[in-house]
Amino acid sequence: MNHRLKYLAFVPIVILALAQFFPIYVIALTSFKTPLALMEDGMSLSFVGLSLENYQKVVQEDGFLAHIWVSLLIASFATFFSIVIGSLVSFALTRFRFRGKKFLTLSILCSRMVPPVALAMPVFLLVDVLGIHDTIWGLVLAHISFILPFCIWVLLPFFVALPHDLAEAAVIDGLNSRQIFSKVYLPLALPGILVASIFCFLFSWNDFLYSLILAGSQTKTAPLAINAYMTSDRIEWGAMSASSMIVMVPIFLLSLLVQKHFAKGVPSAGIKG
Amino acid sequence: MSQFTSRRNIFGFLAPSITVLLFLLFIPCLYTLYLCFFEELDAIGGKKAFIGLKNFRMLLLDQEFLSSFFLLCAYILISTGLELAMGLGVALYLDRFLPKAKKIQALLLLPMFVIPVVSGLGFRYIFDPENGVLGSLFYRFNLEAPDILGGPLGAFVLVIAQDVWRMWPFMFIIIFAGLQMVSKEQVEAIKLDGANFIAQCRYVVLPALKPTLIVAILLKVIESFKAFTEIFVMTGGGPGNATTILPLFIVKQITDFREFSYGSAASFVLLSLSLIFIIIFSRLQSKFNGAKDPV
Repeated sequence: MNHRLKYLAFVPIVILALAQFFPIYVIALTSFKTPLALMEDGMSLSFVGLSLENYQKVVQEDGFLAHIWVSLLIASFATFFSIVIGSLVSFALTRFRFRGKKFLTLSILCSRMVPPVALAMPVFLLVDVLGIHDTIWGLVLAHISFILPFCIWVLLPFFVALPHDLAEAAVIDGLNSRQIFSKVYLPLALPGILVASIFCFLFSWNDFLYSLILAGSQTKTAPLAINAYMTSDRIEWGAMSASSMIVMVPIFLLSLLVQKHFAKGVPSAGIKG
Repeated sequence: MSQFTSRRNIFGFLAPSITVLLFLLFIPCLYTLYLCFFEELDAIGGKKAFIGLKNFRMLLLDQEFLSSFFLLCAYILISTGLELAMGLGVALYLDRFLPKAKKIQALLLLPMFVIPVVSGLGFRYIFDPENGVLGSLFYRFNLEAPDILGGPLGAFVLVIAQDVWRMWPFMFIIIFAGLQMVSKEQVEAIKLDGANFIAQCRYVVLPALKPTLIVAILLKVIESFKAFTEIFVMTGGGPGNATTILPLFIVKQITDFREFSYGSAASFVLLSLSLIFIIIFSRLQSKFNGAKDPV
């Protein structure tokens, strides 16, 4: 193919990429405009009235960082527990032989596809019964319910890929299975654990459904706080965009780290999972 | 490896996850089913009365539920169809003309990483007739901007547009990966026979791609049952009930009406519907994998 044709082939794709990028660009631009400039007619895409006012308002007046902190705590705990539980079971599923293994694997892998909305009702009641309504633990528990199956799904291929003879060698060296797990396999599975942690964190961080149902005044997560800028009488577009950016930018950076795995992971979900 | 098969050892590794899955997934599922047959007499956890299938009968007579059910079906059918077309089209295009352009592919995937709340709000802002992007553009031309989100059909179209924007890249990656496995020799062979691009697609590429396409469609449908946040933020289910698809209906039962048993019956409908697709999917998977054990 000659060069000119090749550049021509880029045109539709570049247009498509710009269209894909446009809503993100609009939010970024809006976040940097003064509320006054946002009120002006016909100016939503102009560069007039750029400032950091929205960010100042969101952080200093509205205390948005407190909500970030809540989200951060919940996502960290949910990720931590999911990874611990997930790597234990991944190890067992790939290194032990036992009855019902196939069934267990299948049910774990299938449970990641169950829509959380369908379980919202019983999880809500469970949290209520446990009396952890409006604490971060209620949300941590709810998040684990949909993060853990996903976590195991990401971890399993990494554990499958680790060589089998390692365990045999370790047994000969006199290590018991707990030591084999923690001293031999865990360090080797670290890249997988890192990828899975990022995924778990993203899922918990992005969650809105359970926050909406379970969070109270003490546990208002960042996505809920963003949504709160929209009330029935008005929408504070500037503050809303600024808080969205604060929530989104770290996520984008994190997702860049796993994007390669993401592109790989989804198709293998189709073929492997 | 005697100790590797000892029961005590295995138990320690399996117990935490089995406990979690049991209490957070399996028992909640069963409890949902259990609640369907009861009616709340007072507050949460209070007395319940057994009412048999009455909740389901009520669902069938509830206009709001029926509309949410059919809207969910329409939402899934239309968005999946459009995303399949987009994903397949772009994958074929990139595979033919720009197979090495990895950077631009990454750009196309960007919306998948936008958090749902933000993508919903972003779309709302873009189509806001007063201060939003659409309003601004119309103002420049001295025209009154249409309130698309204010109309039932418009709102539904935009809800789908938002989903397509965010999720077609999901179809694209699966299909593009599948395309790499289509045998290039076969394509070359039919090319030598004088087949044009369309014929190549029709007789070689698409038949070879069929399993991938089925997997992609099933995964997307399963994913669609989870749709909630973007729609809730964009339209709140309105105007009226125009965008209240089943998941929104269920959440409304919890947050607005506190109708736990009735909501459970609706949850059960959603759960069974998604389980049908999940089971088809896992069946197909084991078929495609043949004798190969995934673990």
